[in-house]
Amino acid sequence: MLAVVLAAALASACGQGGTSASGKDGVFTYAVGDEPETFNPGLQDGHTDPVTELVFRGLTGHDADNKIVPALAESWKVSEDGTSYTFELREGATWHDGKPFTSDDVRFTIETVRDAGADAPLSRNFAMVKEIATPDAHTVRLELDEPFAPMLGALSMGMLPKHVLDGKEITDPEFGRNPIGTGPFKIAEYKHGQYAELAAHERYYEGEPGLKKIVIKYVPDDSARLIQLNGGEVDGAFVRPKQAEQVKGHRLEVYPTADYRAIGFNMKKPVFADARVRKAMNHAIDSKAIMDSVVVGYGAPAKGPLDMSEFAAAEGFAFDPAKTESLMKEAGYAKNGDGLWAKGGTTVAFELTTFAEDSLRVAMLNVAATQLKEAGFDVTPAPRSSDWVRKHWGDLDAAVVGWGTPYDPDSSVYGVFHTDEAIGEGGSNLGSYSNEEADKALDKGRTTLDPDGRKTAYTDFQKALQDDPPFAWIGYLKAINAVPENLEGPQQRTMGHHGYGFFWNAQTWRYA
Amino acid sequence: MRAETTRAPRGLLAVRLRPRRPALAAAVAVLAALGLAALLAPWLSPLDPLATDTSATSLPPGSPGHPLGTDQLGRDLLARMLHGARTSLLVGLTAAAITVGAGMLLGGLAAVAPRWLDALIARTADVLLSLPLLVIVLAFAAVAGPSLGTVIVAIAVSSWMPVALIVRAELRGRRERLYVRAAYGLGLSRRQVLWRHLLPGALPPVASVAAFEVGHAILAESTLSFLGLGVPPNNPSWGNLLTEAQSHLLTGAWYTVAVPAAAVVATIIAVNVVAGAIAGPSDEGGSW
Repeated sequence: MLAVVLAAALASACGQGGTSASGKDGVFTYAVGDEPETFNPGLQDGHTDPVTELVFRGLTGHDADNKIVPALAESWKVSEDGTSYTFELREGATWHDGKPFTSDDVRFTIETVRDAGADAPLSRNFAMVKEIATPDAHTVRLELDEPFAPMLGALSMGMLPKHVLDGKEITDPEFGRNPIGTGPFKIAEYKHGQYAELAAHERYYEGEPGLKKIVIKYVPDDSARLIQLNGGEVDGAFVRPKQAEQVKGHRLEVYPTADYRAIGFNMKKPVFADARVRKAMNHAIDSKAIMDSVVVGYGAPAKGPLDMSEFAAAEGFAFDPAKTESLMKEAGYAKNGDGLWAKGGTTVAFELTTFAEDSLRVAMLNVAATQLKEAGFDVTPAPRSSDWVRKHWGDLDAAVVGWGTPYDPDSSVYGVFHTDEAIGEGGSNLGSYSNEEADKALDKGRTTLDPDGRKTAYTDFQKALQDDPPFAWIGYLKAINAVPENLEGPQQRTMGHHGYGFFWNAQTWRYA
Repeated sequence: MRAETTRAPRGLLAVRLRPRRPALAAAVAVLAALGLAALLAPWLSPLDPLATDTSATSLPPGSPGHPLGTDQLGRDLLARMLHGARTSLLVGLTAAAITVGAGMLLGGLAAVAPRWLDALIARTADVLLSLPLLVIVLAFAAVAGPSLGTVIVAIAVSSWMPVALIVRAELRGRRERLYVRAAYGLGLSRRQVLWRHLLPGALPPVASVAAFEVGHAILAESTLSFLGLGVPPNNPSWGNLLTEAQSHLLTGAWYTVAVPAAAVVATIIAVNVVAGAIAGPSDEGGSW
């Protein structure tokens, strides 16, 4: 039976024909592991997959440095008090079906996503939008209840076509599969679980793209992706760090990401009550060794959640067994007969889990658990199925988690570390972390428009996390993409979660 | 000349018979060695099968301190194989024992029970036999979640049918035999007849099926763990070792796949040789 399964795996690796690789006719076929549930940008949570990224455009966009630049909006004005935004829209932008893009679409998008509630995680970005005025087809004015510094970044979310979605639910499955956008590529054919074929949008507002077609092929198995890449069945692929050496005849585009991994502690567990114990564990983890072994150097040790942001200011924790020892003694612990730290007969015992399906997280979990055990912490490594983990977030002791965004920091730190966003309140603060200083800094960072003021706020926030660490930091991953030698255009930028964001300037790609 | 002609048949006979005995001896030796290795795992390798060593990753077999090498996180492959043998053999033996026990019980019950119960058991067996093992186990594991117990029960639930049907057929076939009728005639109760005459007669075919069930159970454990439905991840078992190695199949560390795969193959062959021998020398297929 095992033989049958293996044979089936190999067959599926070799036999998925249909789209053949061919650089000459302007087609770029790219294999990626994960397929999103929907291509509707209003339903995603900031992690924009390749198809959504190619099909949609927002009012704003991000350049190579992840600075906000105009996209569908040509220019904008923000009032002094930060509660009024006026956008001048670009003339001549059209939807894939030929209809013009207008201010009505903008109002429809923001209102729909804002009112979608739990269906749309990004509704949190528009909750403070009080009123949207559209004086003419190319002007939009937003009136906010209170200033919201991340607003310009939030409007990089893909705009939705009112003429297609009006009267339908935002969750309309047909739109999620065959969306219509204003981006440089339009969906030609989508086969769930197999591929999405995208054709150039000739009337794209920045001019016709250099490639005729981009085919995004879904190949979840890492080995199968490498086989297809080296066998010429696909032109490019997302490859894993350990596979980088095996890639033949392709150019590797290795970009940093803002996607970090860390051990998140459940603060409701008494074992993690003392910040000194959490600091001691941070000093016990040799993140350089983890990044060197697990991702063979395709990553960098992490100091905090904003290392890849313009607001990076975390001091971080050096690997230092002596510091671990002094912190634990200070916290009243002593080594017991088994070499474990104990206080009143209780060790620092906890189960460390993560998604069993994610081999990278499992590998990090095992190396980190070994390091913590060697340092005297009573860790039980136990990866579990992702379904189980997702159902039990609030009860877990500790888990290898991943967060981070290359864009506005608010979107990846407010929800993860603010007291109001605790998992018990329905938020994504999975460890129910609560720190008054951090909360204050997060609130200030979100409502202060002045760049220096924001910088101060996020510096204070990282200081609060340094003194009372919610996580034991591991590292930031790098994204490795293999492309044909003669493909011109891919440009380095700090990528997002899952290494998403590779196609950010695909409209300029072409074969030499 | 004459001496040679008389020797020739013996020679031919020897060719036909010899391979069976060394193979059987070798199979028993292999199983004994694996069983001992599993029992003595903590003493045979002092290394923790879960402990990583970032300074000794991806060592090939024969490296100092790591006879079978290490995986990509520096975990000792020998320690993982030995502890994996514990899990895999434990699951194999327990699942086979439950399978055979449940099969005999249900088969025996069907043979002596009222018609409706007999029909119920036989039809249930037919339905289960017509479903692929994986479908049954997938459904079961989805409900119960992966654990050692789930694997064992899942294997038993999906493989008791052949045993039950054999026992049922054997008992029914013997029920009408003269010596059984004579036993009834002599005043023995149904129960006495069942215990003294019917069950002993049904045992030899069951014994050979039982041996095959062990092999089947070990293989099923590997398959289920390989698919992430068996032994909880991170606990070394041969199937889990294969799962982990599969993702770096192409990265040069061939031994992380080859070693557990070889262990599974060797065990299955050895078990089948032993099973073939139990099934009796008269079996045409038993010429291993």
